[in-house]
Amino acid sequence: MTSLAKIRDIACDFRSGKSTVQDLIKPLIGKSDGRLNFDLMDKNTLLKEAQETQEKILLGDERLFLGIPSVVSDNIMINGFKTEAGSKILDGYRSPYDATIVKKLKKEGTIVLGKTKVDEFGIGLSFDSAKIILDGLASFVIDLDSAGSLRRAASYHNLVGFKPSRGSVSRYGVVSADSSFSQAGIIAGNVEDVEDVLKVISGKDGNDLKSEDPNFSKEEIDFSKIKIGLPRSWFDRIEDKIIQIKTKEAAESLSVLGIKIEEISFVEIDHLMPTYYVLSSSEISSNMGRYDGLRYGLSSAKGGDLTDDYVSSRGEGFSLDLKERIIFGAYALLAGNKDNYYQKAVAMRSFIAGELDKSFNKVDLILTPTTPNLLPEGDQSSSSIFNVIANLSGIPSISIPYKKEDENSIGIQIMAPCSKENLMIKFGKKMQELWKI
Amino acid sequence: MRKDELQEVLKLVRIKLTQEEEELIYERVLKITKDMDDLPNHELVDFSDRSNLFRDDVPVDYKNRDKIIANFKKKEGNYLKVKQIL
Repeated sequence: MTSLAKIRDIACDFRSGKSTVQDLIKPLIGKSDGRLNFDLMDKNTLLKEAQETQEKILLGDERLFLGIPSVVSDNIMINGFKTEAGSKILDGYRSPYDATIVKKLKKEGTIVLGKTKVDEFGIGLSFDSAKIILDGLASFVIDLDSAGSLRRAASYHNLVGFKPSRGSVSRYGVVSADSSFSQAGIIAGNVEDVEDVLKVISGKDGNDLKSEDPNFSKEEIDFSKIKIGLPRSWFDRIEDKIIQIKTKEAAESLSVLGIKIEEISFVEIDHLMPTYYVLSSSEISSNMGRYDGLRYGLSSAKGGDLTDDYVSSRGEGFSLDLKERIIFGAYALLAGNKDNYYQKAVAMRSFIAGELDKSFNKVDLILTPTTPNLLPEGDQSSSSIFNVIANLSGIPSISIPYKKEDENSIGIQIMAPCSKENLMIKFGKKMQELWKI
Repeated sequence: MRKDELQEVLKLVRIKLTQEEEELIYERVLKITKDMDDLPNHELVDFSDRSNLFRDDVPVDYKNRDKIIANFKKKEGNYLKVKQIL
C-alpha cells in the first residue's frame, strides 16, 4: 500500500473534478475495516458524510480540509465513540463530548475515520499511527507525544513526526496521564501536511488554561543567517555507527544553504531520564486516582466493602507497568520524600530548561538524530534519551526522514525554542527539499 | 525505599500486588531512587514564559450531563450508587 497524496494535492483534485470525496473515502473504509488496532466509525455515517462533503465542494466551499481523511489516537475523545486509552480500566467508556482537537478538525470538514489503539494511556510508541499513514489509510494522525513516542515512531517509519510547543494544542478532551509531558502532535508523510494540520488544531482554547496561539508569521527566513547547534556530548551516546555517520552527513549537507553548523556543549544527557521518570510518574499517580471502578470503565466489585471494590477494579484494570508508575509516583510525593524526589526533579527540570535557553542564545536550532539506534526487527522498544528534553522543557521538536530511499534511512530531530513552530516548519520544509523526501 | 514503605504506598494507591510483583517493583523503585540520589541539587527557577489563560466565571448549562451519567456502572436515577461506608 502507498501513502496518500499531499493534502493540498487531494484538495486540488476535488476542486478540479479529478476525484471525489467518495472516491477517496470509500476504499479507505474497506481497507480500514477489521484492521487490528483501528476502530472505524460507523461505515454508513462515514459514506453519508463523504457524500455531503462532496456536495459542499461542488457548491464552492473552499475549505482546504473538506473531505480529507484523518484519524486520532484512542486517548482523544470523539463524542459518543469509545475512548479506552489502551487500558482495561476504561473498558467500554464512551466519550461524552468532542476533544477541542476533534471539534476543530470537524469544523474544517475533515472526515475523522476513527481511532488507532494505543499502549496503556499512550505510554509507548505510536507505531499503529505511523502504519495508518504508511498504508494510506489517512492523510494524518493526531497522537500524543510522551517522551518522544510519536517522533520515534515516525522516524522508524520514514515519516514526519511533530511535537508542538506545550500549550500550542489544547488538551481539552485528551485523556490525562503525564499531563505536563504528553502533547498532542501530528504524524504525516511530509512537512507541508504537518503545517496545514497544525494551523487547524492549534490555538487558544477557553477550556485549557495553558493553551496559547503559536506563531505562524509569514516572515521569510534568511537561511544563511541560521545557526544550527550539534550537542557534542550527545553524539557520543549514539549507539549505531550508521546513525552517527548519517547524522553528521545530514548536518553537513545543510551548508549548501549557507547554514552555519557548530558544536555546542549541552544539557547533561544522564540527568534527563531520572527527572522525567520521577515527574511523569508523579503526574500519572495523581491522574490515575480518578479510576475507582464506580464512575466509568471497568467495575470489578467482588462483594466486599467500598475499599475492596476500589482495589479489585484497579488491580484488574491497570497493567503491572502502570502500577509501577502509580506506586513510584505516590512514593515520590509522600510528605517525607517530596524534597528528595519530586522537588528535586522539579528543580532539575527548571535547570534543564534554563540550560536549553542558554543554548538557544547561541544557536537558532538544535539537531540530533531522533533515535540512538536502528530498530531491531520486531522490537517496539527504543530509547527516548534524545527526545525527552522537548517534553521536559515544552519546546517544539520535529523528526524528518533523511535519505528515505536508503535501506538504513534515519530520522533527524530538530528542536527550536518555545513557540518557534514557524521557524522549525520553514526549516523542515527546506530540509525536505534538500533531502528530496 | 523500605519494604514497609512499599506496603504503606500500596494502601494509599489502592493496589494489591502478588509477592512476586512486589519484589519486581521494589527492585525497580530502588534503581530509580538511586539514579535520583546521584543527581546534583539545583535551585528552583521559574523557567516558563507561559501564563494562565483566564476566563470569566460564568455559569453555563452543561449539556453533557446525561452522557457522563450514562458511563456510571451502578446508578439510581441520576445518582451514582456506592456502598454504604458508615
